[in-house]
Amino acid sequence: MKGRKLFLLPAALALGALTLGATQLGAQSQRNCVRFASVEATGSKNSLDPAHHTSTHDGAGIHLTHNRLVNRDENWRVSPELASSWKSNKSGTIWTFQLRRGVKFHDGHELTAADVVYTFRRLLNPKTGSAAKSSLAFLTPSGIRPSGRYAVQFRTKSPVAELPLLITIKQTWIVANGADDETIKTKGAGTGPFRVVDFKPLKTRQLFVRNADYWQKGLPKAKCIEVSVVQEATSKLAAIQTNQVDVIQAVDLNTIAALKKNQGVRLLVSVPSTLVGLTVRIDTPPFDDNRVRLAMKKVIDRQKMVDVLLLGFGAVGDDNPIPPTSPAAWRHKVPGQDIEGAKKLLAAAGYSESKPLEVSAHCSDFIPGLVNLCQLYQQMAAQAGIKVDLVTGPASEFFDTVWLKKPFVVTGWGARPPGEALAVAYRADAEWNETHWKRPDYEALLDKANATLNPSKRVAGFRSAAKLLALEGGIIVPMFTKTVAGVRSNCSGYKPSNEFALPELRFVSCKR
Amino acid sequence: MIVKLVVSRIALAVVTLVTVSALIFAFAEILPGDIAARVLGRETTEEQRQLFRERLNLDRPFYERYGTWLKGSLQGDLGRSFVNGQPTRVLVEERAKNTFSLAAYAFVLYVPATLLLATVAALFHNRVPDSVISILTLASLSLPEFVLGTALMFVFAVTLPLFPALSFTDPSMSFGERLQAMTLPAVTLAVVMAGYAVRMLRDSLIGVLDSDYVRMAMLKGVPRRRVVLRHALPNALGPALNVTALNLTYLIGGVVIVEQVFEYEGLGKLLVDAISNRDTPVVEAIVLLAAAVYILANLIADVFALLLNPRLRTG
Amino acid sequence: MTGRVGWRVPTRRLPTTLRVGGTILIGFFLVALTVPLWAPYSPVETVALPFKGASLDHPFGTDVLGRDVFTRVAYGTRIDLLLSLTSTVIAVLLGAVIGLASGYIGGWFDNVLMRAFEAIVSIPLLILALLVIAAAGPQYSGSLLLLTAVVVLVYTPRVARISRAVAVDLVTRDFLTVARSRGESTWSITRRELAPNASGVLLVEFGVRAGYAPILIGSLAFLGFGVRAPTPEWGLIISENRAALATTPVVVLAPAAVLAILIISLNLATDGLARYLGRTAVRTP
Repeated sequence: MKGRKLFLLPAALALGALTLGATQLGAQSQRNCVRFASVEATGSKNSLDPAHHTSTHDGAGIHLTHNRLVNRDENWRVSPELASSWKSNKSGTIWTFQLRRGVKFHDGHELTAADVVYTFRRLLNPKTGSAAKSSLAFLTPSGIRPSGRYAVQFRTKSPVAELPLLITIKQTWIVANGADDETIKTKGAGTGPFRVVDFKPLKTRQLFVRNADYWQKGLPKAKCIEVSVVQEATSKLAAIQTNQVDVIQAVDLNTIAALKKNQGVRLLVSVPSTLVGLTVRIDTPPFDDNRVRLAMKKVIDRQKMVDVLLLGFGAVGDDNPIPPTSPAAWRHKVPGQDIEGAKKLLAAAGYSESKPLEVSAHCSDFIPGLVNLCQLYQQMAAQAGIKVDLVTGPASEFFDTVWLKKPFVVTGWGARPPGEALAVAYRADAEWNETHWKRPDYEALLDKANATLNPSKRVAGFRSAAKLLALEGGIIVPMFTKTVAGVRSNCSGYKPSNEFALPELRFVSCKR
Repeated sequence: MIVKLVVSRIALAVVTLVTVSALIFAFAEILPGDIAARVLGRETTEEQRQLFRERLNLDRPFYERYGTWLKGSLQGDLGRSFVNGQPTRVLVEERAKNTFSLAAYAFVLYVPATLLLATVAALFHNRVPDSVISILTLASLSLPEFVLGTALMFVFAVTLPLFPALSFTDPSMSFGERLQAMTLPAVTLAVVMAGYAVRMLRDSLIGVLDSDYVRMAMLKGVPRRRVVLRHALPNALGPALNVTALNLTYLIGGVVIVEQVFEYEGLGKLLVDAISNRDTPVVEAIVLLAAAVYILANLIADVFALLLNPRLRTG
Repeated sequence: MTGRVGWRVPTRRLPTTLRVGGTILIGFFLVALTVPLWAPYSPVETVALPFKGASLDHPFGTDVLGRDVFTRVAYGTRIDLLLSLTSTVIAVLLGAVIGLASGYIGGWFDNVLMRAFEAIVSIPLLILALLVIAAAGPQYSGSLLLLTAVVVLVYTPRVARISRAVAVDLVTRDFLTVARSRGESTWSITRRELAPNASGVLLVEFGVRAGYAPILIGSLAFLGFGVRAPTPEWGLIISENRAALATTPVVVLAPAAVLAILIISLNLATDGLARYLGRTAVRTP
């Protein structure tokens, strides 16, 4: 009868789907590609342009398809990549990099000095609109020039002792000479271990295949890589448990307990890398009084934050961008919570129970978990009588309506070497000076350190700068996070990078 | 006579659509926040943002922009996405295919389930099966989609790995794989839609079953089942069509949550991303599409009701 | 059916659904009013490590920040129940007045208004809510006032259309013509004639809308556009703790169950009320 047939059809479909399902659940994984699940909290922009590097997810794609002149590891030691060697002149104002011969771009042409010069000049060009322009403020377009076919010179006005390190930032991936914006964005114009296959904006799954002509012999290990974006914690968990992905860039900490039980998945932990915390503008009342700033720092029980927010996967911070575990830290042991001390400071600044300090904190999850950090901070501050009002908003709105506009906001910074970290937001003219820190004595320390060729003297200089920042600055850094990556047991060669936005996928491969 | 009615209904629909478009444009253009800063990201300067604004004509007056947009929409040109510069129409079309196939799948599951449950409930009116169905539908109405979806994912994708947790679909997948990927989100949508529809259909079926016409047929000895299927159901079709039209609108709203839960690449997810990114052209296009679907569905339901119901014709 | 003047309360026996639903709702109210007296912890304080399972100390476990979920769910009644009901009441009153007035006044005013409302209604509820929130801007993000306003804004046109239909229906009745010829003012007519006749429909409409409001508020929170942290609101709690669904399901299932029970009781009460008044509760998605 007509009625019955109506019921049978979807039942049959569902049954069909189920049986097909049981047999084909693994089918998607037989493609021999390593499936990498990235994260994206602020909205995928989908661009392969290193100059903009607007999202974490893009970072994965950029890293796969390009190389930089040198590489830097988690201890900030540089190693050769496209440059085979480098040296500076005696005063440290001219650095010359020798390029490897025979490196081919994906379009077939050979890497020469012209490509490097084009890349850097493009980053410095205000029309490109790259963040690198501020980070590379010590360079000028005319100071970058070829020195023969396979060598590039970087000339600077004052000595830059760590130039090779400082020009290895997340934007300085070498692109082909003369490549236009559109090509770079959608096709990639790099020399990297993988090539793009039909990069589509707004597609959350992108495919990259092995570059057969890659200049490093034996690499990359994987035949192809599929990069996808998975936001939801439960989806990530389910995906890796059911073998729908091979590597998860950042496992949600709350799912670790479930993953530990799973034999098919290994958990790998990075060193403490990303800084998370809060910043105040030191020129805006009530934050212009250093006693208030110090009180706000003293209320924090840093270890508790690491335990509750990171489930132990992190390290305490010391209110400056250098982790206490680094040799450049000014002290390695950070004092714990001091409520009494905070109360005394607040009293000295004129606050009391009848007239408490009231502040509004603007928070957003542009790094997942930041809103939780704000909530915990609110609790701790309350113990010293500070009333914190939380204003939260969507992550994608944060950077245009909140950050750099409100006086008390949440913040997060990827790992950077001391020379870069202490400058990027703390020089008076830095574009992202979130704390409005303007101290000539601080800048003098930094300038001197940058120019000091002796490494231990340079580190001592960084230490002094860091100490100044911690004791008088406007940044509150309770902790540094460790990235926890999830990898299927049949895969090897992946190690979570300390630079969260740049996962290293050259060495990863999966046995099927 | 009837042609006049139909034409007037269509004219009404068009007027509504134009009004909606104005509303949408108004909402989208007063979205505060600097579009330039939002789209270009954290790391830009004021000059770059001004360049961006000029390039996209963001500094022209409101009515001029509305006019341009409306004219363009009629010709199929919905502008370019602020975020990645791709033509909005291309973006929306691609995602629309996914959402519509998800919606179709959900529909295929929902229609027979609704018919079956509503018929059973009406036939066993006020007895145990009716009460059970009543409780089930009430429960399905009372569960937010994100709870239902997450629970389904947990049970059927994590605990018993029957379905994939991530609903990726791409052209290289076979039909079977694609069906699999869409099943959990489709079931979630179908369950919610059925919750509303079963109740409505049951009520109107009871009304029809009670009618003289049906009672006569049953007195005459026509078997109950045939009465229901041949006589009662068709007459209850009117309100059923109505509910279905409304369910279609629900689909476009409901997919927003469901696509988020299952990471399904459809219009819903595109919309949330576009709202977050202040990608105004995309937002406008999708909301316009949603409204158009609603208006069209209602129009069709109205016209059908007109054609089917002799009483309404002489109006 | 003849219209009547003035209010009259029917005195039949209350149906079971109304009694069951009503009792549960009263229970929720009591919890909302008295929770500070008996809650074991503070709803915003970290008291243990995150995601501990259900125990005697923590019947619903601890959440992502180590807060007691039972306490948070209990405090959540204040927001979810009160916010839903308040915003729905305002929406229904506003919609009723506008709709009744529009239907009664008729003419081009009615036409224009109804076209506008029909346009608003053709945008799906959730999407409209998102647009309004996004348009309001970040300074109001998470404010309860904004959420109330959003619910009112999306519901009022829908209620108005229904009450207008009632008004149009009533306008043609004799008793209204009599009242008008007696010289009664529009306001008086609204109060004494229109409103009582529309009350049945509106009460049911209120119940239907109130039943969906917690879902709307929860969905907005889930998408990140709802109440601010650390406010204990069930949708937000579910969304905050979703990551632990696989490890500590109780922290998600408990608020989900409570939310479902609230909505079910609202729907039950509405159905019972409708039956009592001799109508059916028409729910549309």
